Amino acid sequence: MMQRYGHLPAVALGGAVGAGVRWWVREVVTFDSFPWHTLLVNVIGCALLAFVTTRELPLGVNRLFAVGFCGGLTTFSTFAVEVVELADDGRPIMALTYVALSVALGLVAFIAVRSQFLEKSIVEGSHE
Amino acid sequence: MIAVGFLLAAAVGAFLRGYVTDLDAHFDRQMYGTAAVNIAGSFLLGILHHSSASAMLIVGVGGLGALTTFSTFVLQIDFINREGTATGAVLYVVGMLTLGVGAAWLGWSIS
Repeated sequence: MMQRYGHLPAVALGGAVGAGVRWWVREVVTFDSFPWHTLLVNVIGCALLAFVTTRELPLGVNRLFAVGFCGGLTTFSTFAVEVVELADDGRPIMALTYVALSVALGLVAFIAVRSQFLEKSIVEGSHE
Repeated sequence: MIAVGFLLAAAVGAFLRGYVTDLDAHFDRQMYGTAAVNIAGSFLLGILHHSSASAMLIVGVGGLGALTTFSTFVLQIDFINREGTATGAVLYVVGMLTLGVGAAWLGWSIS
């Protein structure tokens, strides 16, 4: 059990730093009418996670960045509440646009980065 | 002080997410654990939405923000699409969005 949960302090540390960056972006990117700040951290977090998953890292380091930092940088709860907020504000089309943009851009960023860096390791013949 | 509270809350949120997702380590890419924290976190943030600015920042943006994750959600969509079927990936997206946004709406409505 120790081994299974031993990386949780690294997850907590990475999560705090990632969330700190998310807070900073929230302060810097202030658009009142559309949650650009959340969209930005979520898409960047997907790209970062994709990169981390293509690296062969020690488990603890992987957890620090993948589960900790990327998980802390990105957020599902704020995204979900912002969708409700936009709809409640009488802007259902904007709410749907926000959902579509978040998922589409997140996926495109993830797949693009993953294929880019996996391709390199295939050339090097290191894995997959 | 708010910064200290924010970072502590975020550390606790991420720790809990790591703990919960590890509970279902037997499942592919820990989908049930991630779904659980995302839905629970969205519901709680919906409830918290009407509270004070500092509580919202520390517990909402920090704690619940770190408890939930968008990047792993997207990783899972890509994983299902590659290892399973595109239909499965679409169903997963629609299901998670419905449950997550639905939970946020429910929390918002009852608070």
